[in-house]
Amino acid sequence: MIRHSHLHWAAALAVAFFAAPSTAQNSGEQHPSLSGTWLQKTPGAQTFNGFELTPAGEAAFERNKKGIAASDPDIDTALRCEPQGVPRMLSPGPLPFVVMQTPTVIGVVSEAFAQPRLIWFGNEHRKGYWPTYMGDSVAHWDGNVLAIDTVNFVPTTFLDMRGLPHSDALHVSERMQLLDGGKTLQDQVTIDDPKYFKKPFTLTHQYARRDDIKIVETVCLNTRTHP
Amino acid sequence: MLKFRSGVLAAAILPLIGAQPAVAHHSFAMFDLTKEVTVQGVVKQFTWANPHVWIDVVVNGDNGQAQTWGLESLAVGLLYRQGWTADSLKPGDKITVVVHPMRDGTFGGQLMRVTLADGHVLNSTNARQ
Repeated sequence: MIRHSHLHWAAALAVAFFAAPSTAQNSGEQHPSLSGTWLQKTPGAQTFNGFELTPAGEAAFERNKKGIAASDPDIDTALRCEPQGVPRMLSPGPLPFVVMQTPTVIGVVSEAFAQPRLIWFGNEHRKGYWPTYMGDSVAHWDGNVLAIDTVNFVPTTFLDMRGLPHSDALHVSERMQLLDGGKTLQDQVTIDDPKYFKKPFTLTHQYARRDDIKIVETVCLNTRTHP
Repeated sequence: MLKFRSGVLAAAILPLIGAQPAVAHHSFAMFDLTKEVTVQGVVKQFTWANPHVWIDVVVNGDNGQAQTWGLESLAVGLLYRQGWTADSLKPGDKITVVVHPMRDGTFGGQLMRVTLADGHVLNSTNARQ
């Protein structure tokens, strides 16, 4: 099941990337290209701070922390190789990821769990879509900043490696831009989830351009765990 | 507590310097990250797979009893960029490994590095390349 979903994602990404972008909505405008291979700058995996949980959020956080401590795959679903999803995949630590930008869509392939993410240019989320690990991402240029809006997540993923939870009301806003003349990619991630958090909160990631790295295929098979 | 047997060459108990695993597929709580143990043995199985590479090593314990240590490493991409390949180890290879041992004393741990019979060292660290 997991492997099938990986294949579907990969196929979708390939179709999106190689389809002729003849209907590019941004044609004629000059925008930065975020394409390249990127490696997270900050040491270690970042975790969110400065959040205020609602009582429901606190209960979910406690449940998740216990599940992580017990290596329970029904709570920490990445243990059985389900994708970490957005926003947790935005903090892949030492595993690099590739961004491929076309006029219509931006593809992200991470070496962590081989997670493909598609960010579609446009303003409207697709209708009738179901909850997914990556959510439904739409983006537009705000000057040189790519503003990404993502909704419609499965509620089982964690916001970060510590097990910070989210509900089905999760709304992720990102502001992604190049810095240092293109040597750095920055992503300011804002979490809004009124069921689990009293107010929105933000975490900023930075990634170094590492076009010298070719990422490797990383199919998560979970061949074994410690007894 | 881990019982150090004759197959364990040296038990170097070292303070750890900020080596929290950056990509925690699981909590890594079963490993004692404050300890490093050096073990010599023979490769039984080398599993080059994700999410994590595994090495099974047969170690001679006291009274000649064989212990099979299950050693968990990192994602293949991280190891590849530290010089590993899918052919780095094969069953029968004599190796020396440094590991963070299991907290509960079972034979196994988180792999830190491998020294091959010819002295070549393969690291297994989360540091960015």
